[in-house]
Amino acid sequence: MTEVEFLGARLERDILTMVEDTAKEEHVDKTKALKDLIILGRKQFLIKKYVNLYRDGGCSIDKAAERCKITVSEMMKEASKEGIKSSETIEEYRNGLELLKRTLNNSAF
Amino acid sequence: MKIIIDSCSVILLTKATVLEKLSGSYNILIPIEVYNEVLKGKEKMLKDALLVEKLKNENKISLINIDKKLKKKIMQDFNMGEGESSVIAGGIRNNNLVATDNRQGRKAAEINSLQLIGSIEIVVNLFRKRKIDYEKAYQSLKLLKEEGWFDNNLIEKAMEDIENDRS
Repeated sequence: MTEVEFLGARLERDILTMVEDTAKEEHVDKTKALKDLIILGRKQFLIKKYVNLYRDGGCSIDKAAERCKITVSEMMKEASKEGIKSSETIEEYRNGLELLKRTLNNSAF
Repeated sequence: MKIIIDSCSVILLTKATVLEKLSGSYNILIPIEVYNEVLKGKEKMLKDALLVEKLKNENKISLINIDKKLKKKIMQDFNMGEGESSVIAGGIRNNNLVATDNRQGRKAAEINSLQLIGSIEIVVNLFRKRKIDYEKAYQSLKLLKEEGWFDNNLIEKAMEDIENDRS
């Protein structure tokens, strides 16, 4: 069984209302509601942090996924939702096509 | 010449429904680390995970081991995961074509002067080699456009290119 510890924290009234509303909506006690909100909030916090880091060239998409504990496919969706595009340019696309033409088209595969 | 491919491109080519055709047309290498990254989606029944596993079981893709020391250095230099860094290390060691569509991967490939390609070029090349027909190539590009991963101008340029090569 997971060990539990007591944590005292001062919360504003509107945050307490969030916990109470969640508890009512989900038919759970306030402790369970608070835990669920923290877990979900932490996940969203990490996704936001690593989407930004990926956009700024600070990490790769698989690293971001690993840190957020989600799949690479899910991380790609998160990046796309934020409007982040591949850095590939038309010139790079042309170079890639030329490379494929030169190397693979003349080989036996 | 072989193509070493990362998780990002495996996922995009699956969404574009051409990964199976690609694996039947060219020699595709997937580092074990990339395979493991993609297979994490199997729990959620993601299509890319299920297809990659099927292609591996049918021996249509080759799983490869990568030099751990070089991989680790690339992981640290570029803050990359195991999969992406193993693709770059594989490109450096064996001079393979490197297929990646993610920013950090493309940056690392360029810095190391690797032979870099992306998913859009792969779709256009499959069409030019008549491994897929025009309708299939167009649909694949449309699916990539819907994913929102690429700049629209890039997809439209590719669509224009396949239209010009149609006859």
